[in-house]
Amino acid sequence: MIPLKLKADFESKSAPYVVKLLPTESSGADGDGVASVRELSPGILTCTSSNGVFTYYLQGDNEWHGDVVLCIPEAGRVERLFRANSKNNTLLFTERCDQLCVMCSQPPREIDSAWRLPLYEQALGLVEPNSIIGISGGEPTLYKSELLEMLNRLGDQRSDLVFHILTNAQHFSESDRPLLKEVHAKLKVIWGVPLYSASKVEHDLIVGKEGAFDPLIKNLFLLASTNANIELRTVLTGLNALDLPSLSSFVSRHLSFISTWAIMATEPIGFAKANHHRVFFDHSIMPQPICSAIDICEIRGVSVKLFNFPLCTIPGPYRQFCAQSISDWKTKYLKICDSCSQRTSCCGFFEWYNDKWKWQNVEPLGEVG
Amino acid sequence: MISASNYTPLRFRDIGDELLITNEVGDFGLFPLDTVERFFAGTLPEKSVDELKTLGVLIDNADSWQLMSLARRLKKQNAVAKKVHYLILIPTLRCNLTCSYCQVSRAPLAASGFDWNDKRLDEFSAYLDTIEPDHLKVEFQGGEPTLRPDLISKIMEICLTKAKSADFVICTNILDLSPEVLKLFDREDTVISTSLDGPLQAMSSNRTKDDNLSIRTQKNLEYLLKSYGPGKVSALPTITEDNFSNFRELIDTYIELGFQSIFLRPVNYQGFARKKHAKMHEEVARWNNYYTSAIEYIKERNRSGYFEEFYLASLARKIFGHEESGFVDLRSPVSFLSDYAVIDFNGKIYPSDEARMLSRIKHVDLAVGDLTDGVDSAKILSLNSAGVNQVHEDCLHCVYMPFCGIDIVDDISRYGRIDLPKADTWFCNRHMFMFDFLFQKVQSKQRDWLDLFLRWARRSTEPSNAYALFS
Repeated sequence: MIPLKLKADFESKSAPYVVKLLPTESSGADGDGVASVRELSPGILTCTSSNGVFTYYLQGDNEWHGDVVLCIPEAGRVERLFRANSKNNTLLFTERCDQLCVMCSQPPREIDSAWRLPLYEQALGLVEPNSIIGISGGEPTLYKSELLEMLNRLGDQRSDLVFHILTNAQHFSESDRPLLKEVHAKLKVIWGVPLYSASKVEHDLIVGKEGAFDPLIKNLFLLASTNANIELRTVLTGLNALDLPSLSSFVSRHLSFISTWAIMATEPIGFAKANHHRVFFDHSIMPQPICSAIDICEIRGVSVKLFNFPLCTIPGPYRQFCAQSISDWKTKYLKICDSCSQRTSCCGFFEWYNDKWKWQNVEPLGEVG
Repeated sequence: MISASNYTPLRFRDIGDELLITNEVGDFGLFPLDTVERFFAGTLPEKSVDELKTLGVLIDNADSWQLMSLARRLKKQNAVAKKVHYLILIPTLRCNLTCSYCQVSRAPLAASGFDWNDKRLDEFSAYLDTIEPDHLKVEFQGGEPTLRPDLISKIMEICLTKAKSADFVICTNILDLSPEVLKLFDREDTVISTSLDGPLQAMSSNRTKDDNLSIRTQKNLEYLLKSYGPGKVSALPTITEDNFSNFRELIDTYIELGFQSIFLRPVNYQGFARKKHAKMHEEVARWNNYYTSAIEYIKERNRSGYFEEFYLASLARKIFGHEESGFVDLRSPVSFLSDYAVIDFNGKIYPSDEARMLSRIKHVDLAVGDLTDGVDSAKILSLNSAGVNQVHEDCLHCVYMPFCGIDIVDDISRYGRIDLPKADTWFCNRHMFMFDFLFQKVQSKQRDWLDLFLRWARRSTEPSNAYALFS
């Protein structure tokens, strides 16, 4: 695992601030929002900016050049918001959520962290060109106007950025249409929206919110009408696995305007772990619903991907749909993967995959013939 | 409570011992036979009411997403192209064969005044200026277009100058492959389409009247397939009653040559064909029997590889795969001249090739303009207003309306009018039969047929576990 929150000693306990870390000798090290960094001894950095000076303790051999970090002097902590050498930078926009999904990997907390939002925007102004920025939660659109207005402003200054925003799409309304259109005209935003079943009863049950289904579908149409790029996401659990073919039929019938449908293996942490008996599904011994869902998409011309499914757990002809979807900082490979020839093209396993969450058919693969 | 605002027109038909119901865009469901009676009696069980809502036949309220979904799909299905992008050109009406069913009232080989001249070429060039085409697909028909490779070449050049890009189909009997013609075939932007009515005997009796000529075309086809591969060469049979018993030989001929598709197309009741095959229009049942036998044989042949009957496969792709067929004789609204036009040897413009043939035999004048004076919008509008099955009184309530087309040119050619009840027309009967055929297999869950439809829908020999598309 790559640590994202690190210890630091601050000379003064000022309010939180954001800086980009650049070596002292590099050009731009004296720019706005930049901390000029000297490596005192291996793993210990002194960072100087107009906000003050702090000493930063790396763990392991963390790369830091160009990272954009959030400094919280009061807590003696630095959060690595954007790692310059990673493709998996995600902002946790808020920990609050209005749904309570049975397999949530990041259970919501009722914490008011609205103070972070302006800092996030500053940080986004500092990231490397053409970065892909994830925004997740909680439910980011609980701060919908802050989010959309932030995107609109960034669209003027940083149209090189690509955003991937996870949202339950419960909170959009007709009145958001103009702003959404404006944002989509300026910026590439991929909206990752979860849909778990074609049956509203089942979907509502899984997300723990009665009446969630109809506004969700309606808002998918609303998003589509503003030229949104939509990645529909379905986490596969014991509750909805057998309904996957009928969901595929539903998606290809009503929602063919989406860019991609991602069928995802559960991340075994948070509520998923607590609700193991309802959530766990071993697709490695029962891949049929996945195969059927893909067949339907192939016939109907819907782009479909498999996220978080190690290649060996999916039948051969369907492995082409697997994506390397697990964020680098929480990916692991098992011992048995050492002799697998496909390891470099496989998504691997979540860090929290273990004997209590174990698929039967996991095996090293030979060369692709 | 039933009110006009919360249900769409009910379209239903008995299939086996169930009732097939379709919605506005062609989603379907099978229900108990008494569903409609019970709906109007207000005694429909809640489960069926929910199923009708899921199907989008009953709508909860005007604000529901089901209505948006229907509207979006309807708009997509009926999208009319804004520019002509498919042209059929007849650079010459002359031909070196006299096929028994010749649909185009051919001109003799030595006749004069039946080829495009320089003036026509200039007019064609000016016509393309009015279209401002992006990509253009051009099909050379005849007559036999390869009698004039020089003209084909010139026309290609004009197309490539006026359009952003273009590709070409040369429809030819491949009787004579001169070096000039082969040079055209060599082009990467050009494919070849030829007629193939089956083995030697069928070719001789239908087309060449001479076994030596038949052998020559056979050899030429083998040569073309060997030189260019089946991706570049396609073949089309014309099927007359005389050939009905030979469907195995016909299909075997196609498979042996490496083709993966055959379009079992009844002889068109037009042109010379009208006089010689007049019995055809009363023979829908005979055709349907023939078609069934042929399709069953094709199913057998699919045990050892991919082979489709193009028309039934297109319907399967449309109904189960939601693919737009783009097949001009099976669409509604017909929107003549919106994306497609036929230009005859004399510069006259027609909405379809059938309309051209019909006009050639002076049955009716369906020309909608010419290269000199441009198109006659008023005439196009009056044709188009009869070409919308969604509002036609005979089609509006048909369970197959969302999948079907409307073909007023066919109606005129057979009956001299467009107002005959559709149920009495060849077009309607032939298509009702095909749709019934497909849905009977769905209703009775005949796995071997459903697997075949899925293969065709996916254009693959791989089995698909996609049975959810049938429910």
